[in-house]
Amino acid sequence: MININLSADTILLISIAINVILVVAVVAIYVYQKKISFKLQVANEELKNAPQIRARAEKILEDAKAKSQEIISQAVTLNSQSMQSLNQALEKATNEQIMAYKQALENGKGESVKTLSNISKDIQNAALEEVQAFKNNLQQEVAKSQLEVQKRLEADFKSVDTQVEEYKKKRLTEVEAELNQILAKVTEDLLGKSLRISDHQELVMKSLQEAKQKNVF
Amino acid sequence: MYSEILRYAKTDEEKELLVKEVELLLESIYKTTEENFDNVLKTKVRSGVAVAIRDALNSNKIEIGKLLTDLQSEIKKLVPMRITLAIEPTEEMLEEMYNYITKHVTGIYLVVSVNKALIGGMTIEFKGKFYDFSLKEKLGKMNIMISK
Repeated sequence: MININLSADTILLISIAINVILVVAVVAIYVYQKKISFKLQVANEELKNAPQIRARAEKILEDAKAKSQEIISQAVTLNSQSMQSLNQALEKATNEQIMAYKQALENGKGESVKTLSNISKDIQNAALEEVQAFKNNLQQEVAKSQLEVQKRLEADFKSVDTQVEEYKKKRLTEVEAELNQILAKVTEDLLGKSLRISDHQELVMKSLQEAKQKNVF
Repeated sequence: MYSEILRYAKTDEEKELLVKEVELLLESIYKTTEENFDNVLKTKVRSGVAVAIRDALNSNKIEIGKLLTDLQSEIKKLVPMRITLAIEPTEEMLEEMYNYITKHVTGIYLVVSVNKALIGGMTIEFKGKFYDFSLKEKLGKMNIMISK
């Protein structure tokens, strides 16, 4: 296991380089095959002319095939190893990045929590101040209202008290008047029935004497 | 001179009677028939009035016509004293009242009415003024004093 510590840029460069190599290899193979094809064409031409040449060409062709397969195999091997290294590097880089992100995230989270905590405290303080102010206002308003209500109640009570007194006086006057009427009526009935003519005459003469004393005549 | 005759005008009714009696007597002065002065005085005038007129004629040596016309003037001068009682007065009551009043004031006649609500006593209306001497008034005052 190869332990490679590479950055993402380096890995990118390596990847590009490998690709370039592969492309070069493929181009080389392609050029070589073209050459071989040309040679085969020449050889075929020669084969038409001579079976020995054909055999030699076939051999050359076989060799070329083997050579090309070897080159291709080497290129594939190289490519496989590179890919493995690349994958490992990528995995490591990814892991590191993930770790870095995690760390940053943790740090950020901590900061956020701290910030949020501070914000929460600020909000709490502001809310408490608001509540205290509201409470004070409410207390003042309640006290004011209580005073108003008390004043109004006192005024109403005075008014009602006056009305009750007036009503009492009125009713007493009425009751007295009724009593007087009843008394007068009873007296009238009793006296009217019980007075004799002589009593009436005596009362009349007393009335006349009183009238004289008051200079009526 | 006329006070004895005017005593027969104690009340408004008596006063009207006296007015009519004097008119009849005046009319009879110049008649020689049965309706002459003496007959009318005997038959159409209350006995007391007749006696009082004769006494006035005898004691004052005055002409009948003048006496009667003066009497008419005196009757017209009479002032009413309106009295309200709790009961219908008897003749005796009226007499006693009139005598008492005319001891102190002359030239009046009584206009009597009844109001049982007064209970007793009387009210007097005289020369535009009203006075209440009734038992009802006294009881009313007593009630006011009690209620105070």
